Amino acid sequence: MDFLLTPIPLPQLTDFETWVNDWVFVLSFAFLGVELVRYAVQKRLNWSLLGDTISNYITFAGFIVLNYIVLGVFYLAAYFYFQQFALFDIETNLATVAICIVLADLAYYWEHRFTHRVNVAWATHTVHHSSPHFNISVANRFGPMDGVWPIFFHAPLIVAGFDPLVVLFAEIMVQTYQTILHTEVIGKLPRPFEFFFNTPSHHRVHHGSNAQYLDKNYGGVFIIWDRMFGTFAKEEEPVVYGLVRPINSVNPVVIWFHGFTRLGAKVAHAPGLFSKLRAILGPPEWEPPERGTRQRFAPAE
Amino acid sequence: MLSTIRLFVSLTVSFFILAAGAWAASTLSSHAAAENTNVSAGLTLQVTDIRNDKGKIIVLVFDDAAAFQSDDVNKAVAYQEVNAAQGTLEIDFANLTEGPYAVSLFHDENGDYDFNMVDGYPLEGYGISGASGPLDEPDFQKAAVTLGTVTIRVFYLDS
Ligand SMILES: [Zn+2]
Repeated sequence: MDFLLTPIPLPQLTDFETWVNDWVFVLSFAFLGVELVRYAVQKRLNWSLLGDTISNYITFAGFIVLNYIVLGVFYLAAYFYFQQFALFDIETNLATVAICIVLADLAYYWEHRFTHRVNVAWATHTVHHSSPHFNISVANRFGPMDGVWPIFFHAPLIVAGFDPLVVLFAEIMVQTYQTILHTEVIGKLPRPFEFFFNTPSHHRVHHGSNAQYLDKNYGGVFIIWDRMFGTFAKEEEPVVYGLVRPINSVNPVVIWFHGFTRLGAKVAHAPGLFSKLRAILGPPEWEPPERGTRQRFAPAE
Repeated sequence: MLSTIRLFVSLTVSFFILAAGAWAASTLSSHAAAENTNVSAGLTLQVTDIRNDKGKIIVLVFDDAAAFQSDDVNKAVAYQEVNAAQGTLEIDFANLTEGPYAVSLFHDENGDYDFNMVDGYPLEGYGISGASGPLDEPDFQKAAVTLGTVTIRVFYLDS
């Protein structure tokens, strides 16, 4: 068991992270080729789908630029700031990195649930959900502010005592795992696996606009969080991908900013400070009462 | 209402999982026994760039300038010999309490407990705390380290 407790130098961890990340990205292109052939065989291949696919990578490029150049510095600064409050002294070895990945996945569950249930966060995460298709290129479809929310939800791990770089590593592993879930090619996996882990089937449900699939299956690597916290739904009827209110566009500018224009419109439309706040912090489906009506509080959900 | 309670319970459970996980991780350490008693005490050396597994790494820790200058084992406040291992080796001096300390070490590949030299030219690897390169011979002031983790690189001039 010695190998589990042997200290891992952080540069080694970071190198591994880059290596995995790069290879998954390269292989995802090969996989996209397979999916495009499948679309062609099923006669589902059309210009809209191709435009959507290209736009996915354009949003990804924007996301990379914002994240690694602008946010990256702030990210690390924030993480090292929280490190001074570390409660436990945690060494970096295989065992503790494994624990960190499980906890980062739990943090991701809450971050993800937050981005679905709080309108201002949904304004950016809606980008990822706005494709009416489901293939591996959708995995790289990110909104402009998608890199902001993880900071708040992973900071507790650093306060708990994990090294900031280990937390970042765990975050990226959780994210990378999910890349390979974005596909229709893989059906259902063996039952024990479907019970514990997030799978393409569970994640198809997450991307569904069907009423019973809304706000379900937030998990990253593990689906047990959804089972524990009551947000699990099984894939049964065919999934209709995309938003309840579709954007009907493959224009990358529309894709990137539709969440914020919708949020802005809702806030502008909401009468009074209280409704404006609720438009920002309430759930996406909440609609402000009509102007001039006397109803101040919308009925409870 | 019910959904609010459910959310609250879920969040509480999550915080317990986080706390339990972090606590469990804090016990999973390669030198847990030594660290449990006093987390911040002691000097830990990360000895890097060891070229092979032969012989031993011999470490001397000094707490004053004259003793450090003499490099005499009898004047050292702490001494350790550890089986060499290629790459990086962690060496703990858990009982060192104050400081500053200066550390000098060499890789005794032939196991004769001597730092072998020919005409003042070292045949075995060596390292000094605070040294910026193989030819740097820092004085006590520059070599001084306090408690915590210190990285010392081993230099070999004969390869
Ligand atoms: Zn989502």
